[in-house]
Amino acid sequence: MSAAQSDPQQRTADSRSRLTDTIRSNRLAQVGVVVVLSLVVAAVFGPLVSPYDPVEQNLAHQLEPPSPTHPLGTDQLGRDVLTRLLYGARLSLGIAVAVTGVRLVVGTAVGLVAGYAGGWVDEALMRLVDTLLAFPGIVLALVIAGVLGPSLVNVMLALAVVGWASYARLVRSNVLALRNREFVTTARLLGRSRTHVVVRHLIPNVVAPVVVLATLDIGGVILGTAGLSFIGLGAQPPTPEWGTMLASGRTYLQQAWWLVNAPGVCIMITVLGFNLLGDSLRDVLSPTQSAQMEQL
Amino acid sequence: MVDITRRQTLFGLATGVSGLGGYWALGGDWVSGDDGAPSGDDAEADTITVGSPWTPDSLDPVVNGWLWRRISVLEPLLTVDYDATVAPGLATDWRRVDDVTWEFDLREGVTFHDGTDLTATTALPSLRRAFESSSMASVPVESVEAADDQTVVIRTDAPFSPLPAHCTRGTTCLVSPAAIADDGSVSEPIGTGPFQFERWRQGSSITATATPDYHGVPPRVETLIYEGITDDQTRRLKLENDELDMARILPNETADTLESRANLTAHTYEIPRARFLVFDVDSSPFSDRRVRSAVMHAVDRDAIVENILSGLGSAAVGPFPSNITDWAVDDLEPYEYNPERARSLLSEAGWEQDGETRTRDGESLSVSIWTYNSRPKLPTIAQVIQRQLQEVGFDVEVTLMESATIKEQAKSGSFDAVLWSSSVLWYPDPDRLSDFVHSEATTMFSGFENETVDRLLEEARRTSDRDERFERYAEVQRIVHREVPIGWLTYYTNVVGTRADIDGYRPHPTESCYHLENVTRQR
Repeated sequence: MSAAQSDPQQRTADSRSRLTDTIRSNRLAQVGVVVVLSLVVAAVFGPLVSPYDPVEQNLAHQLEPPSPTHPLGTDQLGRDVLTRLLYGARLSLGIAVAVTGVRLVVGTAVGLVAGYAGGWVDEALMRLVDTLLAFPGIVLALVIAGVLGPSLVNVMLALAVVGWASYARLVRSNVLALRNREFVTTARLLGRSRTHVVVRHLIPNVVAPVVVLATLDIGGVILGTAGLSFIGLGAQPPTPEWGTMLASGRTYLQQAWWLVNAPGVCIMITVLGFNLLGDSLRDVLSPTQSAQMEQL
Repeated sequence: MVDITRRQTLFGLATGVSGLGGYWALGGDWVSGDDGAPSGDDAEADTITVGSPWTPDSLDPVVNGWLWRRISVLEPLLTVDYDATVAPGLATDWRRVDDVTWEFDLREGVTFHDGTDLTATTALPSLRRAFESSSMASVPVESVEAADDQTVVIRTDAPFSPLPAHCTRGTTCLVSPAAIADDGSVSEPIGTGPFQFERWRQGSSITATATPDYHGVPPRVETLIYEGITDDQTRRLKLENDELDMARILPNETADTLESRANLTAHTYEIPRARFLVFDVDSSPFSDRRVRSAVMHAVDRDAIVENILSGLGSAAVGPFPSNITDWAVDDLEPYEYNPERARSLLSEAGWEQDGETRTRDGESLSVSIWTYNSRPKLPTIAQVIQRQLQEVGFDVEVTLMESATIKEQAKSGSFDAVLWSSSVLWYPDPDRLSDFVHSEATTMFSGFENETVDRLLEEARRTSDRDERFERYAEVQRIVHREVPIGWLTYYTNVVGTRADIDGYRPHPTESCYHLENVTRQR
């Protein structure tokens, strides 16, 4: 076990075969992978295929129900809903990956520093993390986005700011466990620099749980973006963002069910897909951490 | 579908036009006791529940009087008739004794809900309190006195013709002196209306019951429940689920759906409210009148009414809808939808087409339109305007903000244009124009300054002769039309849904009162 952990390459190869195994045997994992992959494909290629412009208005074709020409109907300004959803997928996935990326990098850095440096640095950073975790994330994001003013960039900033703390805590607890392990002590006794120890020995060993957390986190970021856009803080019209589409379609609930249901179902499927994927990744990559992650 | 829409539009127009002396008109109700009241019918002793977007937040008429007045608990000295003119209320008659002195004859035989008689003495405390309050700061009242038992005399600092119109505002509603505590606060809305206050849940609902010995036509229902429900979809659903008898201010497109249900009815009617663009006349590019006119020519207002407002409403010409009020001037030439004209105006102003967006001296014609969500159609209209302005070479960004934030930021700093909606006649006097275009009195933040307009508005404020006043307001409307500090886009049609068994409801154009005392339930 310790040998495996001290050798990142072997560990990765190990997990890779276990990953394929799990995905083969686990129906839910398959669903997650399929959903996420098809979303990525749709987001990347969908807009290239669609014959419509996501913002071009066509008032002669308002609120048309789903038909072969408009598979998901048109909205109150005659725009093709499917096309807008596809562009929206690009936006949602892009934002989710970017925000999660920032959270991951910042959180991991803080966690590494806190865990490895220890002492007052650890103390200070972890109290900050505690404070952030004590706030209901979406409320804090709402305040930040509200103060900065309505725009998609500000929403991304707000979500990034409120979300990195869980990563920091996860990484720190892993680092605390690792720093006294033989391979780390050995490296230190051999006179390796701090940077070397962190980069070569610590980071490879925290990657797995962090990736799992990130996958589970993506769903939350998508929900957060859609939520903030829904209340008008995020994407500004006519940007085809799922939350904005949901909000503007709401008044037409009775006349045009597709306006609300299309983006609503999209958000649900996406979040579900990432959560399923995250769950199966967790089973594969860090079985021992499952219990620990539950608490985050 | 088409038929229903047309019928409703006609109905809306008819309601607007036939304002004069209607069967249910207040004037009629006040004067005679037996006018139109069916002789005692036990089945009518019932409850009616009405839902509106506004939550009851205060028992104080100075803060929330307009709401208590809408549900007929409180009454003001004067009321607004169905043709949007000032009509008798608790005062049967009023006259201007000299430039600054007004006399109001109080109605005889009126008692407050606590049994106190309405006399000049008992009316004074509420009136003084109202005119001293900050919400009446623009009304220069100097003193309120009792001339005799039934006559109230109000003196103003300067000649002020709109005074009677301000005496219709909810703020000035009369409450019993007993309701006013020693520290000047009001603890209970003890008024004179056909319904009296029973209880409330702050921020959510009010229960009122019929006043036993009401001085006019007594209410036909026993209990009135008012619910403040902010979300329009919730109001609609509650109406459909039988939890409300009347849901007010529903989205235009629900009118057809409501009509198609056997147990529901939609009332659509125009109100004196407009949607308009406020331009910042102090900053580029809208400092140039030609650019503002270009916007007006580039926007297809009929298409907005047809496509976004479900055909309910009409394209605006000036501030006042002429089928609701006589203060509208009828010789304004509407800005016709003409993108070519818009393009040539922009070129004339130096903005040359260069790729998609026009430029002038390296600056591109980029503008930002601010608007808000709480009036549901505004964001959609903003997007249509965005698209239509792009057609003639603007680059437009739409930003949704809170309405309060917009006001604050537009007042303190520079902006480009704001898409806004507000009542143009919430007190029935054209002096309301001052709020839009007077250089100092304005609350509409365009930065417009025009000496002639200021002078005309101030003169009209002093003059008592209606025709002379009209002349001046007409001229103001013409100048504003030419200078376009504010671009009027569309007027406003309200949709009220009721259960089909609700009878006798007649929408009031200024909505100053719902007149639910006239409503019956058929069983």
